[in-house]
Amino acid sequence: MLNIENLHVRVDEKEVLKGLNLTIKAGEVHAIMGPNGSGKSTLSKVIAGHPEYTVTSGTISYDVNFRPKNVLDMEPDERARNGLFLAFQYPVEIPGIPNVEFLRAAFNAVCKHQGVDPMETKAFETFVREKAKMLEIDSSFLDRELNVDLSGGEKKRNEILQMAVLNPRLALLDETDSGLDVDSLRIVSEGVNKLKSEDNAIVMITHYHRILNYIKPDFVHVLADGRIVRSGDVSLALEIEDRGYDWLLN
Amino acid sequence: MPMSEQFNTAFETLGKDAQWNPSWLKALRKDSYESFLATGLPSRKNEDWKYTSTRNLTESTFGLILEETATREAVEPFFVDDAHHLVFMNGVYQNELSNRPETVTIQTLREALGTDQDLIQPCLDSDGDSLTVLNQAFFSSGIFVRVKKNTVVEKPIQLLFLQRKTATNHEAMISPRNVLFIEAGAQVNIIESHFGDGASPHFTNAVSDIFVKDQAQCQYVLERSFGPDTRYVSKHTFHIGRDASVESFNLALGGKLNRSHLEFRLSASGSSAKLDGLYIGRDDNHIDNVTEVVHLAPHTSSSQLYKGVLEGNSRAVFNGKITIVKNAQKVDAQQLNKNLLMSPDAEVDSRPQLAIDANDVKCSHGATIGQIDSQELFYLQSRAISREDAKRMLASAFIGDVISRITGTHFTKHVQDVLQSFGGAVP
Repeated sequence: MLNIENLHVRVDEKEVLKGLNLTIKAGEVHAIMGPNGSGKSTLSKVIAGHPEYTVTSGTISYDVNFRPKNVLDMEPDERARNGLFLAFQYPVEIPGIPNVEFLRAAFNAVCKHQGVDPMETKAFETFVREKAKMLEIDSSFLDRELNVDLSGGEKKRNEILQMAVLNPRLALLDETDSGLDVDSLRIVSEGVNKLKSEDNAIVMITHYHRILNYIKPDFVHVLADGRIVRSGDVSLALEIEDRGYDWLLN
Repeated sequence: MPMSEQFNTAFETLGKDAQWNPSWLKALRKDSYESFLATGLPSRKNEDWKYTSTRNLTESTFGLILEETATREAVEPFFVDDAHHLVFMNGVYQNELSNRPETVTIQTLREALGTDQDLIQPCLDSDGDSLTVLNQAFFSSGIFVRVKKNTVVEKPIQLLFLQRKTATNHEAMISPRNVLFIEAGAQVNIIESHFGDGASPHFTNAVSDIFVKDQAQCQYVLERSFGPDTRYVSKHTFHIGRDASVESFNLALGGKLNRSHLEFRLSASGSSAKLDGLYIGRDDNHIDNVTEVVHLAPHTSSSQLYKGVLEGNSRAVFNGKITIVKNAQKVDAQQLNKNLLMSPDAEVDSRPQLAIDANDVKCSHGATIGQIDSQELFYLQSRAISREDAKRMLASAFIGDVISRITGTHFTKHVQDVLQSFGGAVP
């Protein structure tokens, strides 16, 4: 589904990713771990198309209609319409845009792309309320301005609500677990698990092992200094929990 | 072209209309015209006109329109729902299409010159700027409103000024003069609308005096939506009495020259003014907002929020002056101007100015000029929303709060509809 080869990325003048390779297939769950500044967030933002990152070499291909397509040629919105989703580490607050209107605009943009009629306001509200219920989100939350005055945990839940509405094929969860209390972590994880299927894939970027207790990864990768230095199964995460990252560097 | 050539024919035409020239007015008109010819149009040397050129007014030979008829079909789309409408086409009053309220004295200014000289004349001999003087020489449109003491006018009153191509296809100067008296304790909602489309190159030079007496309340919406060639300047003076309040909203959309000057004179304790505005420019539009709040008495308050969205090569000016005179203590005056530039070629000049001569006052002002936030744009795009749609959503979000400050869902919806017809914050 996603194939990254020898990816080099610069932010400002600094090289952050230095030849990264990663392959993700439908039905898989991947976890990417690594010390601060190793390039984890950069990776997720580059896949989503953040304009501040410059790819200097390498390729990212993503299957659209069963054919690999060069992601780097696509605008961020085009990537999203084709099923790529990034749950932000720091969701952006936008005063003046009601949450539900934003969700409907996003949903209808995908509908349009798929040649389906847009959903009317009423029907969409019923649809989104159902999704909100799954994430134990109070429906008053939908009328509030996008992410404005939400707690860290509420913002993260809102990200997963967006994921539930857009139903992506590939979801990148950038530190969705950080800032969540135990209950929120459980609710968010259960939500993600319900959205998981044989046809989609999930990539979790995390510092902590605890989310992996809820969302079981098939693969765990360690990212250090811009490259994946070790890949394994969930036991790798347990080992990191025990020993830290030092033994993997050098 | 010498200015006399531009205006002489029009002045002679007006001079032949007896009703527009009662004996008490004739000499004043002549003096005003001569004074205008001597002074000329405001130049950029004038601080108030530093960023706005009147050059596009110097090449036209202006005609004067004293007769014009319109059809109901042409004017109805511009009506505020459930309101009294006073309709003007190219400045000429359309009696058949208007419905005057029964509880309020409303006359065309032309009628009122004969009956209410005592109330109108004092508004005229002011030593105004050259455009006010020009209006004084030429006014040949407008309304006289008198809301009697303690009268609450239920429905809004819309002063609707529409423009269209003239039969002879010449550029006209439309000079409305409005005089409104809201007597003590009365309450009224006024909306003054000016609409001109792509076929209207006319020049409107409007002057209004609004007297809001003690404990009276007046909501005043001024809206203009213009095509690329329309030119408009106006001066409104609100004289606000003890414990009286004015809530104004100023909507400026498009135009080649679209300038309003709103002055609020808070003349007695307890008087207050809320002045909000929204302006949207695109292509080569030029929009100029002057607000002037004069706190003449203690315990008076004013608050203002003006927001602008500029696209293309458009240019906007915000010139906001707050004056607090000596001994006007315990005054509360707030002012904020925020601008969103949607294109690298758009420009805004924002000049908030304070002149405070009292020491116990609460006063704040500020101005911001920004662009679409790249993080916000990326966030929306990452949710499948196209770049253009995302920009549109962000621009709409930017202006949302100033629209929400309009009191009453009636006017709010109307303003949103007018904005929609213009193409929204960003088309």
